[in-house]
This record gives sequence, structure tokens and C-alpha cells, in this order.
Amino acid sequence: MIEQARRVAPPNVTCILADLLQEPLPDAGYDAIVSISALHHTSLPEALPRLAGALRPGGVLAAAALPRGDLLRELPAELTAAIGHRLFGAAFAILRTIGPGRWYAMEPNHAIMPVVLDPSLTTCQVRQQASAVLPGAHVRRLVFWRYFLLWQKPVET
Amino acid sequence: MPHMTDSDAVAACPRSISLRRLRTEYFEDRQPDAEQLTGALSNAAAAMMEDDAASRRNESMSLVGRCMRPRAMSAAPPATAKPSLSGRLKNRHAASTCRSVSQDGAVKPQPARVPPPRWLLPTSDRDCQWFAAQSGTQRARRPPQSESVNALDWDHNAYYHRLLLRHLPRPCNRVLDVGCGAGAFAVELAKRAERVDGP
Repeated sequence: MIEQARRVAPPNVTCILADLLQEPLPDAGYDAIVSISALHHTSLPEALPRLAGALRPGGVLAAAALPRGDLLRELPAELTAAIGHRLFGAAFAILRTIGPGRWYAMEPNHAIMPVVLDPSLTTCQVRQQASAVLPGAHVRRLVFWRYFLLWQKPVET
Repeated sequence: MPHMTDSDAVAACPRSISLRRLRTEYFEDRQPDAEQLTGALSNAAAAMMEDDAASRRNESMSLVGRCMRPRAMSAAPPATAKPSLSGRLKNRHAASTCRSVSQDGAVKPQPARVPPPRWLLPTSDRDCQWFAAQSGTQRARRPPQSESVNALDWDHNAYYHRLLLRHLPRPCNRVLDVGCGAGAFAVELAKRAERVDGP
């Protein structure tokens, strides 16, 4: 998969195949750290401090990842997602048919992506763990089966 | 294997298999049979056109011909020879359902074959083996995995790309994309940041 990323990426992208918990990251080197559907593959108490250390003061950590299902607390979101997924899917399929846009079509390599069908943490637990490591982190549930973690590294005065 | 008639084969197969058999015959695997059938039908239809009393039989034969003919042939233009008005009226039904047969019973040249739609291709190896055993030909298998994704399915990750992009600080020189996967998001980030790292 990393080869595929290298193929599609423009020259200002450096693709590295590494373990997030092992790879040395530049200290305070990044303006922003983003992540999509990756954090649920790793341990938050170990990964988040490393990422926080790699951010410059005032830098932003923004991540979306999969939460464990939590029907008691997130029933409205789950219901909305179940209905919205089909409605949006139909709308996107029509738009893809009549226009040139991709409209969130599945990537051709979708099937080879690593999948965790049973993430270990609910949104609530992610909020607790993230707040413990990164004070002031915001974690909220996104409708379509993701949680969103946002943290801005405080500027040292 | 012993020779089986169509009805025997349909009775011997489970329902889904017999449907696939019909699909096979409908398209290209048994093309010679289909051509023979169409030729026989055209002769029979031409003979029946002479006989008004045979109109009901003619209708049923035309119907069979329409069902069994490959799809490409049903798009062939109608007969070129102009019959008399009474002949046209008499044979209107036959002409409307049996377009590839001209008045003198000759089969018109077949246009290029239309490839079968994707949903008609077999999905599993077992189906392919069955097709091979029945028709003596191999069939392409429908591509597995990602291509068989439901058409209504969509990418939730791509949907949230914009949400993350909105939270990027400006200016944004160096960005780390954790878990860049196949690089779709990294490509978008690269338009907004001078340098992107994607472990």
C-alpha cells in the first residue's frame, strides 16, 4: 500500500513505512498532525504524547477514527448514520452517474485496507483517555461511524 | 456426460443454476445453438406466414424466438423487402417480434456481439466450473472484492477529509498524516501544505 501512496503522491509528500510508536518524530516539527481511520489501530496513551511532542506550539492535532459502538449513549447518531448512509449513498450514486465527480466513491484498493471491525474504545472512552494525556482535547462523535479528536497545542508563554 | 434436453437440465438443476443456464444460452456461450435455433425459427415463421389460421402458433413461435435470440440480434433492423399491404397487415405481428428474419426466410447478418452485462457474469469458482461443464467453454469470472462493492456504498473517510482540512492552521508548512494508507488524503494535504510526511 505504501508503494501505491508513493505512486499517487506529489513530490512534496514523503511516504514512510514505520511504526508510529517506534519511528523517531522531529521534536516540535509539525504545524499540524492529521490522521484518518488510523488511531483506533494503536494505543492512545502511548501514541498521543508522541504526536503532541512532534507538534509545534500552537499546532493542531486533528484525527478521525473508528469508535466502538455505544448504543446507549449514541443511539441518535447510530440511527442517523444508518438512514443517512443509504440516503447519501443513493444521492452520491446518482451524482456520480450524471456528473464527473467522484462523490466519495470507494477507492479501488478499498478491500486491501486494514480493517478493525471491533475497535476497543467507545467515543466516551477516547474522550477520557485523550483528556488525560492532552488537556483541552475535544472529542466528539461524527455521524458516520467516526469520532473526531481535535487538540491545539498550547503556545508556551 | 449424457445428452440432456433443456427441460431435463432445468429440472435437474437447482433453481438458481437453471436461471444461470438460461443466461448462458441467452448470450454467447452457446452461440451456434442459438443460430441454429434462429434459423429454424425463421423457416417455421416464413412457412406460417402463409397460413392465416396459424397466427396463434406463429405468435408463440415468435415469442420463443425473441426470448432465445441473443440480445444483439433483436436490435437488427427490420426486413428490407416490401410486402404488399395485405401481407404486411397479415404478418405485422411476426415482423414486430421477429425482426431479424426477412420475408424470404433468410437470416440477416448478425451485428457485433454485445458483451453480457456485469451482473450476468458468474460470481464464484463453483459457478465457473458449472458453466465450463455445461457449455464446454470457460467464462470470465466477475471481479471479486472491491469491484463487487455495493453501488450505494461510499467512503466515509473521504467524506471527512474536508472536516480535517478545515482545522489545518494557516500557514501550514509541514504536516504529518498518520496512517496515510494509499495516500488519498496526503494528496489533498499536499495542495495546502508545503511538506507532508505520511507514515
